[in-house]
Amino acid sequence: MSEDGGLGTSRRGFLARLGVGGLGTTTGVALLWDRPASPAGGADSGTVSADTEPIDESDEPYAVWQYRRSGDDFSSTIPINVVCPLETASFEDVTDVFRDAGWYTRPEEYARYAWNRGTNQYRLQDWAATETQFGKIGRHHIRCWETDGTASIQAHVDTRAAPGHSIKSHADAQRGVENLFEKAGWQVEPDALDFGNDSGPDHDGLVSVIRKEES
Amino acid sequence: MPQNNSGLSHPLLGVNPRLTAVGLGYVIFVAVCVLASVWRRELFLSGGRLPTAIDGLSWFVIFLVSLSTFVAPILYALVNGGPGLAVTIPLAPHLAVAGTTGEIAGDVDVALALAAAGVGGSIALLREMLRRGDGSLSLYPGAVDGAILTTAPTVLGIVVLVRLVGVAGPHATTGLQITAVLSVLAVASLLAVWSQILLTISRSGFC
Repeated sequence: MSEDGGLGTSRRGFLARLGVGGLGTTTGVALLWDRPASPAGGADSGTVSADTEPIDESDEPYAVWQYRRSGDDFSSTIPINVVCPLETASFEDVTDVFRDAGWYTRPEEYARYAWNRGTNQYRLQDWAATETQFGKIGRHHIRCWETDGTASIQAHVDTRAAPGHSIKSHADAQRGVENLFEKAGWQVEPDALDFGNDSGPDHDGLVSVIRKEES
Repeated sequence: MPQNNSGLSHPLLGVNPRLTAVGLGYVIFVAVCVLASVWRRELFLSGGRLPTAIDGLSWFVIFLVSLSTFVAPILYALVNGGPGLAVTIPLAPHLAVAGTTGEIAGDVDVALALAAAGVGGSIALLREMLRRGDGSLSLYPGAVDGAILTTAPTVLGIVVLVRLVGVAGPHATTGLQITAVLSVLAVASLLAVWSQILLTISRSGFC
């Protein structure tokens, strides 16, 4: 064994390495000091009625369901649960609320579609955001569509990756989005819209309406 | 120890150059898959639609990232003992996203990756110190670098974990608990490594 007991460095070299390690750690702390505060909390799990008749996609300018594409066929998967009329706001104002809360926009995960009444076509999600980059263990996840001059949001809480994600809750995420927009100064309408798009595990068919207060 | 000039025999990377090549190849493969997922609109969008196969890519990326966090660092450390690469494996997906989009924050995914880096790096160090010392911990050139490289993410992981407690939401509780367990493991292993380093320094009259 060498004189330095296998250390492989001089005193100077050792202290220099410690310095580099300390500097690197400090830089990392500075980069990661910001963390997204979850808007979760306060959700009453909705009652899912099995026999509710959902409204038709053409009844509202909003989207009603999220669709999965398979070839030229589209099948509905999970319900839209938050909508914004965009009378006093732009679609970008909506996405900025999530952006400002520190949510990630990439990677987007699965490609999903919604029915756009204005063009009579299925439309790929215009925007998506998540609380964490990969959702290893539970996260809020939203997809947004701009349809017929309005914004529709599908919000859910993902299960942990096992390794795919599935839906842990719609209601928690719906309440979470409300919390986020209220904090950003938007108004959640006291009366929700009844889309009748009840879905397990906990979406009761009532869709939150959020608008930006006129300044 | 086999010596060659390929660069793959550096002690931070691993013991067996062939396994080191596999480890490096894995990191690059994961980073490429993550980047393809990040830039999928630019790469694959056509006529307002994404090919349905891209959903498969999304699934595969989540699978790879889970593997890179919970399995690969420890596995790599045990079979090939390179702390530098064991630290890189869980961090690479996050670095790939942050490096190309600028989006990074101290969230629970990042905390898990940092703690997993700490566990992978410290197990790699202990494994190599035991091998070289024939069953007792023995320092080797590169061990100090490995210890510093492993301590940094371990400390960072703990800082992020502490920052997250109370704000991460109930759905992240399991993630925080796993981060805590991994951090304890990493700290315990690193204590063994650092005490050996400090012991050696005091013996050699270095300070």
